[in-house]
Amino acid sequence: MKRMILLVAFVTFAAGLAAAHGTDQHVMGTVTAISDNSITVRTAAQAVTIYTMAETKFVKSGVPASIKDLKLGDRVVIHAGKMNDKLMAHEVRFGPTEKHQ
Amino acid sequence: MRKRTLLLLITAAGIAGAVAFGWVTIRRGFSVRDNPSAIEAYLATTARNLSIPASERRATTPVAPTAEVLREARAHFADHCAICHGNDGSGNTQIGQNLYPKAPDMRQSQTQQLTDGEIYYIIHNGIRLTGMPAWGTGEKDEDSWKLAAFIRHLPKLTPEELKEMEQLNPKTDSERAEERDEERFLNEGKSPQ
Repeated sequence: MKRMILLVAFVTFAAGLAAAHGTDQHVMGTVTAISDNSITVRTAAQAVTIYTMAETKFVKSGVPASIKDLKLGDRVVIHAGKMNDKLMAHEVRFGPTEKHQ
Repeated sequence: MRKRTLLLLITAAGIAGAVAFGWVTIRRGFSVRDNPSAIEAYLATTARNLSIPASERRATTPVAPTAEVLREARAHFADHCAICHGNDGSGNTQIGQNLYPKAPDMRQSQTQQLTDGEIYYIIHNGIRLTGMPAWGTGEKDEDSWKLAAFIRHLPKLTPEELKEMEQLNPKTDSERAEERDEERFLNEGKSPQ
């Protein structure tokens, strides 16, 4: 019984060792619609709607911003992951940026 | 006799409840996307606190948080720690949010109320059964004290410091190329070929 308890405890905590991996999609395009929880972007190929979350980071010209700073017609780069067939934004970047070396 | 029967019934009900809970939990499966339950969090925090010797907890930093120390620690943090903790220490990164337990928001009291010695000990020795590795080398190391000073500075991190750190985050060649494409698009509207 003691062994069983130890095994269950080990399995429960060992699950914590695994780190999740994932690949964000990078959506580049022009904003055609904005709602409280989504941004629609016209890319070179099609219109794509990406949903925002409380954790979504907005960055305008390298400085933290909010969805209110985003305007129709802005060029955006959105890093998003798929969740239940929806694209969920992790980071939304817009505005001119400083060039990197 | 009645008392004994009642006790047996209560024990049997308890065991049945525990078995049912275990069965439902196992059938549902385990995911690191969940947040640890209150019991797990309590046990883990208590175990972590007990794992830090009192003398280490009371240890005071030998490093003054000068501008130079903080600059060095920022670079170190951006290179080694930000992949899980984020440059701002929020833990809001893909790895940080998908660990179990999730990387904490180190700007908050949960981290800031720890003593300098505790923060140093965690960086130097890591935390068992979490994603936090031991970064320290040797008996004592100055770099971990400098990082502890930077963690104290996190709530006051400026946008300029964050920008500087972004340039220091490790990137692969393809990530750099992708970043250049994105900059070109944002600045000039040119899509990658």
